Amino acid sequence: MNRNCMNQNTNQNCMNQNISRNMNQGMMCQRGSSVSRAQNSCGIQTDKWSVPFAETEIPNSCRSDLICFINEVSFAAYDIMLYLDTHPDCQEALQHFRKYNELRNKALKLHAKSYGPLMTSSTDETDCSSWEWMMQPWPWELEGGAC
Amino acid sequence: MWHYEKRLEYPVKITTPNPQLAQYIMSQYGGPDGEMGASMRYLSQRYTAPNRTAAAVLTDIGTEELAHLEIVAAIVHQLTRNLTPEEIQKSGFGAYYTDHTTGIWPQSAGGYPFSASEFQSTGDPITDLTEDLAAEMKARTTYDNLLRLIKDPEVADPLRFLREREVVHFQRFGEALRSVQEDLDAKNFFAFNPGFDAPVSCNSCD
Repeated sequence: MNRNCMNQNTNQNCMNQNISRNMNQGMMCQRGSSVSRAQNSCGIQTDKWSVPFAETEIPNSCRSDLICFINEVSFAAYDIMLYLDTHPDCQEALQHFRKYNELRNKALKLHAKSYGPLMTSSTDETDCSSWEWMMQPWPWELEGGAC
Repeated sequence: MWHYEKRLEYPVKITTPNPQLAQYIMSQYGGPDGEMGASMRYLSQRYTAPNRTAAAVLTDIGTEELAHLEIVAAIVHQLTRNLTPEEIQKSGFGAYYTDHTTGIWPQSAGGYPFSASEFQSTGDPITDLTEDLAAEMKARTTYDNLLRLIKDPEVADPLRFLREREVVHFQRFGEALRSVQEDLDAKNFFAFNPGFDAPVSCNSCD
């Protein structure tokens, strides 16, 4: 996806955006999730950890879709990390963490390449001659909080 | 060491400003049970954590509370955009406006400045983790109180997310407290302070 360095021309509301801001759905976008209700080896319900992204391509038709995806997988990885802090031997949780963390890292790289870096550590992914980090919207700005 | 990510943990996009709600919600920024106190409490308490679990839970939840601090600030900021002097006077936002215009400053809904005396770091991990359980419930109650007043779904949505996180943190702190107690003598958890009298320093692979 081509973009201008200054990021001013990036259209953040793509045409096919149909993400609902349904109050109860929160960060979950329009993707369906394949719910499995099996109990895992740690004795907890895994349906909350269903794997909606397992075979999914990272959505990148517009910035807000990609940000939404980054928010989702980052939250999944973070919440499983907290669980692992008190259940460090749970193999299933470890697998989930690795999966979501890998998706998160891929998506962060893709964001840096397509729109600009969200973290200073991914500034290398941008091929920009100026300091693109500061040009990215801040998250409290309406355009930065888009999902 | 911390790194900043230029995104919120949960998105905030509020189209209709409402300074009265901002006045209430800012309590979760710098009020008695707000996110500033939460992050400072956990990140301060972790140095006397007696096992790997408690140190990790305090560090990781303390870090998430910093992200929540930013979410609350974003809500207050977006609720106080483009205000007219008339709106400020009518909404009850005038007292805050007088000192801070629409800048973000840590205070309670009632105007008390943020104070470290709203939390403890006792150096006794059983005491600290028990306080942390109460802190999560106090923050949950505050979010419940706010959600009763808020009709705008764009404001209620991120607050519901924050409320749910208090419940998850409560669970993790309960597990951390249990892990500390399991390392102690079940006949008397209070025989000594594991953060002072007999500090545990285990390596990460034991």
